[in-house]
Amino acid sequence: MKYLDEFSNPDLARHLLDQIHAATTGNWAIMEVCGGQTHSIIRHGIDQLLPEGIEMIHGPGCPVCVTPLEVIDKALAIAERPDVIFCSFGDMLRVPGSSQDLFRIKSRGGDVRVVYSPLDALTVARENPDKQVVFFGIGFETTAPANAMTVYQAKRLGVPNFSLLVSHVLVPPAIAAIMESPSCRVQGFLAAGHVCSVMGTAGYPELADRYRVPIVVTGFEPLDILEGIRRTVLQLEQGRHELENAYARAVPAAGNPVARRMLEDVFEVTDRAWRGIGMIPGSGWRLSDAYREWDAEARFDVGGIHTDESAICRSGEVLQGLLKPHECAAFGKECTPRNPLGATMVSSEGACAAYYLYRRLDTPATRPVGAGA
Amino acid sequence: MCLGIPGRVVGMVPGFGDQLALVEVEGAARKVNIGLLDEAPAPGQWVLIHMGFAVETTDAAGAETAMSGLEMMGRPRDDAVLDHPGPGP
Repeated sequence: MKYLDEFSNPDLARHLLDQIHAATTGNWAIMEVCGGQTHSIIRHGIDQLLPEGIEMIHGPGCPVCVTPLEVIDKALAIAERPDVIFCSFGDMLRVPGSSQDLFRIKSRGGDVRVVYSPLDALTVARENPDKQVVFFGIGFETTAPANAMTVYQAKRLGVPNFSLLVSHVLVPPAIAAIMESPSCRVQGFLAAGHVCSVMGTAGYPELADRYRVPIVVTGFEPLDILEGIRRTVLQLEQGRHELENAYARAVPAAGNPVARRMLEDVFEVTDRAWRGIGMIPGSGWRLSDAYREWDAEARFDVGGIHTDESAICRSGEVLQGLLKPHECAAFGKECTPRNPLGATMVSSEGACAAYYLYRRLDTPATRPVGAGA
Repeated sequence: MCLGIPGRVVGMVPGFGDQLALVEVEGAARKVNIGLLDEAPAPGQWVLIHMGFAVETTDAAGAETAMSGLEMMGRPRDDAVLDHPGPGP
């Protein structure tokens, strides 16, 4: 159990918690979508300070965690080629593929480089014209503008030896898929403010209305999360289902117009598989026809690689909120951050890694379906 | 992977079509692409940098919030500057 004086403003935290306790009469299951929010909730023990009737479900908001095994295997197949310099954020190097990871390839002499920006990969491409340089472009709406801009620059500058392995996913279709699932237990959502700062909030009121579910946009600081929970609980108790913005900084309804124009030019919506969840229609982006030439999947002919997920790892159930990490038999035994079976144990934003790091073995078990309200 | 790293604009880098600004991030000068902003930020303006791009303008309070967020995620400031694009989404 954490103590309130560990919060940046204990008085305000106490005030918000008092309001949440006073307002709560029913049992409510609320999903935080963002991996940063999950980390914050577990690190600060927010879920343990809430009324017994409120359960936090950790959603699929970790970009490393939802990248399908199949895409990891495609990355590995490309990175193994002697003519390739494979560039990625550091988080992806330890994500296990079917038989190895990017670190293993690097240790065997493969040219795998950790970069800070896709623009760094573009620079590597210009400095190494005799090599193929590939950047691993994963993530949600937040990471897509930088990748889009880099491909735009590759085209504008004429850098033929650069390409992007794309596995971009979108939050609103995932919320719809979660709500459509027969095993869905979610009654309210905390959405991520920094996602909305790119795309705006346009898609959310329709989702709140269609699924009669409150959606509250908030940040990932502990006080942001408590305020988001407070507003969600008030909606649930009052039978409302609206989009509310509780983010500390203003989220313009239209998002970032420059980034949106770039995204519309470079990417087009496509069906995407989510690790542990499966195919969600219209839930991702791929390069548009005008930029298909820079698509690594086509360039290296890895489209034929198909991989099934691990039979032992239950991260799919964790990502859907059907299982808490420590309820998995492999948690902390066969599966640790040093030897992860699944991506939720790899990334600091993954629910399994957060539970492991903060020794959260005493969290109540997941409620059965139908016990939410 | 989704959060911005705060920095303060020093000035534009000549010769890159007004696309690159020099930004001070925790005492280190970085070249940052400003092509995703509506207009070029003035010297002294705080920006949030994501994957090498300035994605939002902000103020000193917003910059401190962003940096404390990165620390909350368990990433020392120097590491955040050098290695990580930040948590997400």
